[in-house]
Order: sequence, then C-alpha cells, then structure tokens
Amino acid sequence: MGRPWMCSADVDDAIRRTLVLSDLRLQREKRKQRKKLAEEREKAIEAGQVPPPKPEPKTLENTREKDDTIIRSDDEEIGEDLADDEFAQYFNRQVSPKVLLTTGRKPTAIMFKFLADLLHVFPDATYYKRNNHEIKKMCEYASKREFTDLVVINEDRKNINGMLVVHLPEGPTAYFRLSSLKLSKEIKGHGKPTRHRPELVLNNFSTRLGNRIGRMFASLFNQDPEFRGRRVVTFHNQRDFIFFRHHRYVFETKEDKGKAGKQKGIGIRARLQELGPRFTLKLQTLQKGTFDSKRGEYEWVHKPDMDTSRRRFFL
Amino acid sequence: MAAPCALRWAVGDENGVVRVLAAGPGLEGTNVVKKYGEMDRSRGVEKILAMPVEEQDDCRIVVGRKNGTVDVLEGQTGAVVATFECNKGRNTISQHARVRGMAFLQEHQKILMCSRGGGMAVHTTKDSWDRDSGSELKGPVDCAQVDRTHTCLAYGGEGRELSVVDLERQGDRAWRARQPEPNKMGVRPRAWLSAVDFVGRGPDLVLVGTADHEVRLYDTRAQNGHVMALPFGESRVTNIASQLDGSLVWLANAMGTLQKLDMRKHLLEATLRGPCASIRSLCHHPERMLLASAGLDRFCWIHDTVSRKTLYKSYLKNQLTAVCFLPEQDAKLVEEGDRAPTKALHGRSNPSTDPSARPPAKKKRGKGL
Repeated sequence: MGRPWMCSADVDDAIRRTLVLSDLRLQREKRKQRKKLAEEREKAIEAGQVPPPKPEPKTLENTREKDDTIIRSDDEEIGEDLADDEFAQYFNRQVSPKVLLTTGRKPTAIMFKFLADLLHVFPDATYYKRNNHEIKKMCEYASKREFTDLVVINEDRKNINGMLVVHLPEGPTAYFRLSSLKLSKEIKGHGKPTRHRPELVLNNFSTRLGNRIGRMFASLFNQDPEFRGRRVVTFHNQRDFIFFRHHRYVFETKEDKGKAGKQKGIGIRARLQELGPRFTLKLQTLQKGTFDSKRGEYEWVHKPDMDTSRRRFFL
Repeated sequence: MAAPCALRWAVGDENGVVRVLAAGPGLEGTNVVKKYGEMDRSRGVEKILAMPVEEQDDCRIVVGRKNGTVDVLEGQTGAVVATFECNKGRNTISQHARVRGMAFLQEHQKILMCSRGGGMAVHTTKDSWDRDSGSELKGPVDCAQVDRTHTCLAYGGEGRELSVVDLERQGDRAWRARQPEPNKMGVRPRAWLSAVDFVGRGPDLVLVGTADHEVRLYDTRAQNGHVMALPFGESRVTNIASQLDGSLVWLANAMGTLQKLDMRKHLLEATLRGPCASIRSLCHHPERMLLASAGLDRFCWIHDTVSRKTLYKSYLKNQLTAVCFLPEQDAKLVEEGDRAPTKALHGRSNPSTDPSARPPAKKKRGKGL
C-alpha cells in the first residue's frame, strides 16, 4: 500500500493527486465539525444547560422512504380484517400447527442435512418423501390429513436456493429465495437443540405485506412455548432480507465494575449459544390461495421496476 | 364559467366495504369521501357499477357480492335502496353463488345480473324493483359482459367456451365459439375463460382472456373460430377494458401486468406501471382517457392512458376487488371524509377532458439536403 501521503504535492500522478487532495479536504471539514460540536457541548455544560444531542448517523433504515402501508397499532379496520383472515384460526387457538416438510425432486445429501436441522427447529414437523408428486396434489393430500402448512425446500445443483411455504387449506403461498445457508455443524461452538417448544421473535415486519409474512411464520410454531427450554427462533427483517437464527439463551448474573459509564453493582446478562441452522430469506412472490403457478393470483410479485430507490423496502 | 368538477370513483373490497374517492381541482390529493358497509367477508364485493339517476344530479351504486346478492346503494348516503338475489329459487353451492356479471341497461331501465352458477336475473329500476325475468346460463360462468348497445351478453368460464346470448330472447344462445385447434403436441387445452369484453361500441367483436395466458378475438359475424390469438403475460388474464372507439384494449392479469393491445395492428404495446398484484377490476372512464384499476395489492390506481402516467394512487388497507367511475361532481359538494394516505402524482390535477386528446405530434425530420 505504501506510506500515507501527508501532502498532495508529494503525489506525482495528477489524477491520484486530485483524489488525495479532495480526501484531505473532506477530512479537514470533518475535523472542523467535530471540533465545533465539542466546543458547543463544553460551553453548554459550563453554562449549566443541556448539551445539544449528538447527531445520529444516517442509515438506510432511518432514511427509509415513507410507506403508506405501514400498520399503526391503533388501526381498527386492519385489526378487524386480521381477525378474520387465513391465520385467524391459528391465533384464536382453534388450530395447532402441523407442518409437512418435503424437498424438490431429486434431493442430494446436503438437502437431508438441512432437513435434519429443520426438523429440530419446527417442533410439529413431519418429513415426507417427494416421490415426484406435484405440489398441487401434495396440498390436497396434506389438507385431508389436517396439516396446516406445507414447506417445500428447493435445490439446484447441490445448492439449496428456495423455500416455498403454503398455508393450508386456503393459502396464501409464499416463495422465498434462500441464501447464506450455514448448517448447524458448520457453526463454531454450536449447541444441540432439545425438543422443547421454542419462543419466537419476529422483528421489523411493519408493513401490511410484512405483517402477513410475519403471521405466516408465526403459524409454523406452537403458540405455547416452553420457557424452560430457553430456546428461541428469530426471524429478523432488515432491508427486506429475513435473517433466520436459532439460539439457546441463558441469563446470568454478572458483577459490573463501573466501567464504560455503567453503574457498579450486580447486573443480569443474557448469553447466547447458536443451535443452527442459519440462513437468509428474501420474499419473491406471495400468492393468494394454494400453490398454482399457472392460473393462480398473486398478492405481491417483485418486479424490477419497483426498485426505484435504495431506501424503498416492502416488508 | 362552469364550477370545477372533481373526478369520483367507487372501490369495493373483499370485506364488503365500498368507498367513494374523489380527486381533482379544489381538492388536495385523493380523498376517501364516503365509506359504506360493514366488514363481512361473506359479503365481499365482486362487481360494482354506477347507475345514473335522471331525477337527481347523482347516481346510485350497484354492488354485486360474493353471496349472490346485488345491493343498490344511494350515492350520497349509502342507504340500501333495493336488494336482489341472483340465485333465487335455485340450489347453488357457495362457490357458485358469487356475482360474475352485472350491467345497467339504461334504455330499458333495468339491471341484469348473473352468478357463477349460471343464474341470471333482470330487475326493473323504475318505481318497483321487481324481478322482470330470469333465466339460466350454462355455468360455471367466470366472466360475463353486456355490449354497449345492450343487446347481447357474452360469457364463458371453466370448461365453457365463449357463448353470446341475445338479451331480448332471454338466454337463447345466439352464437357459440368453436374450440381452438389442438396444439403441436396434439393436445386441445381445456377451455377456461377468465375475462371478456366487447371491443368498441358494437356487439360483433368479442375479446376473451383465458387462464392459460392467452387473449383471443372472435368476430360473431364471420366465423366460430377465433380471428386472432396472442399470448399475454405469465398468468391468468383477469380483466379486459376496451376503449369506446375500439382502437385500443387494456389487458390485465393476475401478476399485475397492465398492457395495451392495439386492435388495428393486433400487437401488444406499452404497459402501465404501478400494480404489483393481481388486478381484480379495470374500468375505463366513459368520456376521458383514464383507466382505473384495483387489485390485491390494496392500491387503487388511476392512469392517464395517453401519457401512461399515474395520476392518482390510493392505499385502501384491504384487498380491492371492484372499481368503477362515478359521475363527476362540483368539488365544493364533495365532503371531506377520512384522509387516505394518497397523493396526486406528476402535478396532474386536471386531466384532459377531450377524449380525442393526444400528446403533441413529434416533428418529422426533413430529408435534408
């Protein structure tokens, strides 16, 4: 890399010289602003006033484009609609989840390793061999056997790349692109999951579409977690990517020595151990009704012309 | 000088609620002016149309529902003036009860309605709301449309090719389409008509959309086979809306594609951007070059069909299933109801009133020296 240039006049190449010069100017401006803010804070503290708040750095999340479909907690109309939708029976505790797990045609070894991990995650899941059945037929079969959800994991050339979740008996059907998969055995320091029903954490599903997807994930798990098992499954939505994590947690008491602004005394800390697997989902399509790629109706389809801005998110 | 008129349209959703929206000069953005009905999924709106009332300077809103009932609502108050049953006297299963076709026959002052099971009824709208006549169509009916001269009804459905019946002879089949030829594999695909509309003002040209992503044009004067067949999109064709002059037809499908079909060249042309879900209803303004669309993405869109720009876009919280334009009204008479989170886009608050309005023609380059 070489030694850092202290002065742009040391650079012989004209283009690099202009870049270095503009970089130095930027650094100088930032130093001036930091100095000015620090002086204002000191003056305010000396005068006994409340110092001005530190400016928050702008991120994609806090500069997100305004979305009309973000649900407000006091919206009665949406509340009435949710009380009567496809997941209402689950949330009213009239139905318990029963998940049918299956694969694409011709699964390979990695698929079975992933399925073994998933069967630990979903407490009420059963694996059935695909046997070249059509998804439409599988939906009918599963509905008759009182399954509440059908999950089909897709694979392409020994690479797991998709997950189809069909809520039974009347839909909806969501297709996700699955990426960044790490099996339990690949995670350093992973734990072995128990058979306790896990707790569920759903983060940042704020829009109408996001809420629907969040309810879909919730309906895969039992409503009564066993807290004694200290197991938690997290679906964290950030920038339309849904991060799936599976942990065991433990609360420990720890003595705080008064460092880093914390008060001295005994505090409670949570420690996590990842159980796996770990993967990322991205919603591609949401279909009304059960799976029907030819004649079905779509509630949401991702189209390239929807990506108008880096700050626009749909979930 | 005439008072500025606000554009108005009615939207129905799957919970049975009907909203009247207004936008235009004198109003800021789009406003939800009226909201009629209680939330009840069994009474979800399937079809909606405006019924002008000569005595009043307004219209009534006719709403066809999922359970086979048709309600006539007063435009200003939403009070139910009359209720009809599409399937009266018939044993119909719940899936076949829903209203699939509705039309207001202005010359005869009658409302025609038909259900998925094939039950068709005609009711008068003068004085009494009695049932004038009823007949049976061969169901299941997935799409039905009356032509603009109010003489014929075209319908079709799952397993049923296009049939055109004469309304005066009450259900006697005037014309039926022949099945398409088998494809290269020797397979004749099962008929499944999902959208139908008459092209232009006459009763002769009928355009149908199928669940197998195809649009077919039939000429009832010429032959029983289709005149033109075009693949469209990658999912079921849900709606077809023809411009009055018959030169252009707008097609919509279950993936939110909204595209123009030029009827002279028989070519698919430009698309309208915006919808990202199944478009359940399309309505072309009777006078202006405007197209309203409502779909499962919970948004109602108004596009200018000439410039292809989005004029108004409104988020209405529930999945929308029906839309129609209402007669325009003086902006001062339009009451301000709930403020829907909407905006007028592109600064177009006063769309062109001239139906033949076109963007200025590009100057042709001379051949040069």
